[in-house]
Amino acid sequence: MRSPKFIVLSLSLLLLPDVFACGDWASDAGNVLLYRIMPLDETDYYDYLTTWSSDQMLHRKVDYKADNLLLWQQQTSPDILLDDIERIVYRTDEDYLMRVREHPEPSDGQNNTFMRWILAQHRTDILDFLILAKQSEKVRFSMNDPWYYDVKDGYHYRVLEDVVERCRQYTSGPLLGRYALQMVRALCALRQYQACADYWDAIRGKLGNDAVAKMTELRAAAALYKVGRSDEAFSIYARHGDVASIRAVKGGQVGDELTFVYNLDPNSPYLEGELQKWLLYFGTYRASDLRPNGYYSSYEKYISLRDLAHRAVKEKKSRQQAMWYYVLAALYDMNGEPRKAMRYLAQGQRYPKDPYLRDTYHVLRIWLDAQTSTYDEAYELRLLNDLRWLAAKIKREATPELCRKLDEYNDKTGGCEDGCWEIYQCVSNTFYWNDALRRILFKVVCPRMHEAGRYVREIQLANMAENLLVQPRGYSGEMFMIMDRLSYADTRAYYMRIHQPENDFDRFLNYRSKTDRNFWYDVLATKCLRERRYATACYYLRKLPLSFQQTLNVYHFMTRDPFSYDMQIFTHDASLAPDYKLHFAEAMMRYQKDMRHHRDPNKRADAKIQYALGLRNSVHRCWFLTRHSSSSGHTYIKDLLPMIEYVGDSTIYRHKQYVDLSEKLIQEAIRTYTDKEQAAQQLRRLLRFQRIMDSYGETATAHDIRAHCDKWRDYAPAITSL
Amino acid sequence: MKKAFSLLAAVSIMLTLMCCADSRRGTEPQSLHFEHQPANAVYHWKTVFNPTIYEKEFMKKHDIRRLYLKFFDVGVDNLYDGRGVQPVPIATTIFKDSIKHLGEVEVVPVVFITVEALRLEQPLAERIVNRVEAMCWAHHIAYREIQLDCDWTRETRPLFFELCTEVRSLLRERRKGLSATIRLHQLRDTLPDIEYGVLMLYNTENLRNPDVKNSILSSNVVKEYMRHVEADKHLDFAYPTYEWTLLFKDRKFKGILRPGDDTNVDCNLRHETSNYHEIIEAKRALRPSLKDIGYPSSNIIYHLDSANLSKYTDHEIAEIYRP
Repeated sequence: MRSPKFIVLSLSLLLLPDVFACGDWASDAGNVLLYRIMPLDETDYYDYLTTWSSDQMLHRKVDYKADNLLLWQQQTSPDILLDDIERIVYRTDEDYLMRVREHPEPSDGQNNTFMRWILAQHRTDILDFLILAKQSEKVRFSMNDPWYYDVKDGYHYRVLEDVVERCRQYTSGPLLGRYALQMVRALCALRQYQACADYWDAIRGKLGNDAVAKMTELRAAAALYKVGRSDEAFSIYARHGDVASIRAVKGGQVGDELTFVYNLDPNSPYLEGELQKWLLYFGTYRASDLRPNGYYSSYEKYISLRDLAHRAVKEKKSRQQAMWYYVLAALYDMNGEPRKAMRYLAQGQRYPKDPYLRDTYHVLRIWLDAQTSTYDEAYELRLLNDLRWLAAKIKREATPELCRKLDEYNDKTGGCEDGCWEIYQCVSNTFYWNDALRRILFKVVCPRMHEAGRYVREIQLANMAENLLVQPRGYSGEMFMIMDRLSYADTRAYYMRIHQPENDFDRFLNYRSKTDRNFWYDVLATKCLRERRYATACYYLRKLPLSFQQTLNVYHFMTRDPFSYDMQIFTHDASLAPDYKLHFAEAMMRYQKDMRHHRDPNKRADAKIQYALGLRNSVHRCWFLTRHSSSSGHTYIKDLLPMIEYVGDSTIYRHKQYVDLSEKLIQEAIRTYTDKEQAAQQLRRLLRFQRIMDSYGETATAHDIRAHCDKWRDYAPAITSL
Repeated sequence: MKKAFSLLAAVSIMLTLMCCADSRRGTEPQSLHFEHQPANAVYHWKTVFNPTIYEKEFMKKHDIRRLYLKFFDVGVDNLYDGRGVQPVPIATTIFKDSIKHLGEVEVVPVVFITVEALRLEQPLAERIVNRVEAMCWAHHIAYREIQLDCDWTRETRPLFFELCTEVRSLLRERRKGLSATIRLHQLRDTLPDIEYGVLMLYNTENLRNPDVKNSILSSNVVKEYMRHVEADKHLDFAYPTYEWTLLFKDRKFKGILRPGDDTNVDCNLRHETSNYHEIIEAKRALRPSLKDIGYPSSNIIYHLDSANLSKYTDHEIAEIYRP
């Protein structure tokens, strides 16, 4: 049972291996934190990632304030507001309470239902108790000040001794437990540990099982430890999950803390948080690192954790058997043994679990299934059902705040080439169910589909994983990276499946994917330009309205002349932007035709040079004709999805191939010219003066160059004819 | 006219004399309650108060009537209580022996204040006085004054002076006095709001400097200082009797070797002592105008440690104490 819905969890994740491996370690699908046995407070997740606050934030704080307020309410009246009790019990000072005790005024109860009830019921015993508690607390608080100097017969001691005496006199009544707590606190502050232990032994049987009794027991544990009853003290701490106290009394030398606490109490509330911490810690390791001589030196810890999990499931002392089986499964999975993990998970299924663990069991089962199954029809059906469940859960549990945050990021980053990347930096590790979906699909299912050559399904799944929660407007998410590396033919096959789904799975995925027609036309057209399918490109590009073109993240680049002779210096012409790609494709088609079929060899040569320039520029300064992002982020794909043997950037974007081809075409074109003057003029535009001097030295162009350029002035044209 | 001139001259001479006398006495109307008596004195600068038999005998033998006992340092620490870095007492002296075993010796609680703590500009005066009082109460010490020790510089001078004013005001209410240690370099400035100062005639040079021969005490350095300094308050004088070995490597200071540390190290060692003749030379070099302001100055030995004190003869100690 968890009392708070979200238990604040902090990770000393700066220690974690992948943090050092790359800056945005948590931003990609593969690195989201999969293994969960308890809900985490993910709203401030990144704050926790960047702080060193570990245990205090990781484990449930032993704090009974809320329970104490409820107890006051139970002991007085259900009509009293908890806030009012809180104000009187925790925030009023001793002077005010003394004044009310001595001279109550009508106004005292006006604004506080608790005080009103006390006065109406003439419960001066409560006021007396609160005054005593305030006096004791004030003194004990000042004793914790570093400036305090312990004076045995000083003021502080006298006050506390008075508190002890007054507590001793309260032997029965409704506030007995509260007086017992004050007594124990005062005796500990006075360092009268034996007296405290004796008192505890005498009083414990008279106390209930409420928050105050727990607080009393925890405080008494300190005294028990001091008088040598350390086993009792540790058992109390373990039962209440107060491991900080165990560490404190043992001077930080607890050793294997998990085992230590498990041995004391297999149902300690501490165990859950601690196990979760280690699952997150090891969950970011690569399996190859979890070896005796692995890169990281936590192997012993991993083994001891696994041994303890084995012991826990065998002994069955814990009421959380399902949790321990989950831990065991996760530990084997992170060590690269998914089949073994699957077996333990299956064994854990039969034990009772709370709704959260039930769902994380389901997620882990999907994850392990994806790794261990044969990808046949049966698996596809299972996967479809699993994804249906997960997608529904994501939609159901995505809070309005999360959706708003994602929309804000989308608005902020949508205009950038890498907007998608930014969004998933925001999303990753902030919404578990979506993270899990992305990790399962991107890290396991898509790569296996790719290996099997099932590219359509690969894109379908990636598309859904990326766009289920929010449709990022950028061009840099995992889906885009996967799709961008596929050929036009494969991408078109996928596009056709959007409009002609073959089965329920297709329909399910299409419904949750980005299927915007203009988006896909542009993608397909761009791939056609990359593959020199200019006519097909024109087919798609003619369908793209200007309004859509203007939303492209690369639209603002489209002012550069794609047939520029110069490779570096481009003049900008805003009028080029509308239908930029279309005009380029049409021009390339025209040049393609002329260079092949024009009767005039000089015209053929001119067309070939233009074609060559267009080809070269389309992968160089006008890269936005053939791709959607100039970011080197695309090359990260091997880091993000190392399990897929994607072809490299150079193959995909054909940069070298087209630059080489362009040069070859230019050389061919020059040789094609029958008009030497025209050839020389083209060479001049290409800044190839040496070639002009060598081959066309007698032309007017060469003369003009010699007349205007010192470098070539003395270059004797006769030499070329020798 | 002549009569009027004579009267004016007489009044002005009287005023001048009164001023001179006041400055010589170093007394102020507010401090009438506190009287600092001349006495042989010694500093106790350890974190555990547990004097050896030798040390107790030493005090008796040399008629030491006053013990300047360091109670605690004021350092800085982050207690992670939401208040950030705070001034905190550290290195509080642990009393393993009772003060009463020293006999009729006046104990002067000394508090060393780091400049880091001063720079925080947090309230200190009341905390210091209250803590000293609590310690005195706990250990049955009837203190008459508190001494503050701080290596203040021109930059931190206003902060320390303000602290002295506040502490002195609190002590005045209790009919107690305030003194402060004064380093040689601090003597070039005016002195803080105190009843009297103790001029530290040790640590006269920078121990980190590899070219210094003896950083503990150089009478030449004292002489050099004496050329420029004046004092506007009564001063007592503290002389060193300690020694240490400093470790240097590649002309860089590495640390102070503790007794018993391995000296077979690949470093240069510089053993420094408090040479008796240097002490006497430094004592002689003191400018006459610094001494006996208001009343006779006392001499103090720094510090009560049998290992060091046993290296001096009784005669030498007596000479150090000799007025």
